[in-house]
Amino acid sequence: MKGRPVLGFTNGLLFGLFLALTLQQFGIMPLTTLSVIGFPIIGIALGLGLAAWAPFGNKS
Amino acid sequence: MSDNIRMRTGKLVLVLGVMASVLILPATALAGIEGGCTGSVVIDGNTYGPNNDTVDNPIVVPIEKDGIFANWEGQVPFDNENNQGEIGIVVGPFTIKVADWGDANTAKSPGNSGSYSIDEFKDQFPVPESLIPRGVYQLSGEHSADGGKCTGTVMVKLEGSGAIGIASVVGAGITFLTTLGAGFRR
Repeated sequence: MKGRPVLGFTNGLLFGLFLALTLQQFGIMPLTTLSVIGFPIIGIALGLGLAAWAPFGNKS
Repeated sequence: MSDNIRMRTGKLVLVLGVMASVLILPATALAGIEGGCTGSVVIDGNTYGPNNDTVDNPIVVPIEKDGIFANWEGQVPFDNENNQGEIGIVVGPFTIKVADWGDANTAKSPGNSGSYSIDEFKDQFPVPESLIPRGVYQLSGEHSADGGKCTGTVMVKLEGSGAIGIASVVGAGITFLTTLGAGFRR
């Protein structure tokens, strides 16, 4: 991978969890299986996808 | 803006668009109450029932007001002897039991009623009122007796702004930005 997969995995996971909590706290969505399990998985996929794609920074 | 940067930006917008569409999906209705049981609860002058089963139409609990009571009543359409039941909060794939009941009910009463103090509910939390988690919760429960069984789901919203909501927004924002950091070339 050209980017930072460990950073993408850990922060994507945390982003998914925080997103689920935010949506629950503001009355948009309860803590369902989709939000508690699905969002962190989507976050991890986003982080790893960005790490593989690495769209930012200079091309070497 | 070069074509390369434009293409990368376009891909990023596509990824975020897919994420946004997934987030919008959950706005679907739940099952309400099945099995023929009926009931209602009056909180702060508002009457709620089995139809309050979506995030758009939840049972609203004004947690920042004091002296509020939830006056509830319910009936079953079957023989209610030897009844038992429980109710819990849905958290992901799990349901955390918050209350249960059971009664021989030899008088064969088909229903029950009562009053629940919201202040007592708040006192159960070992934290200041501002730290009680607000937001919307899915409650799932069942009631069974000799004559039948009911299952149901309703949505409850603890209304008000709390510190946890603000912290979660900050956390989501920071972790989103740091997740984007994974896209920087090494």
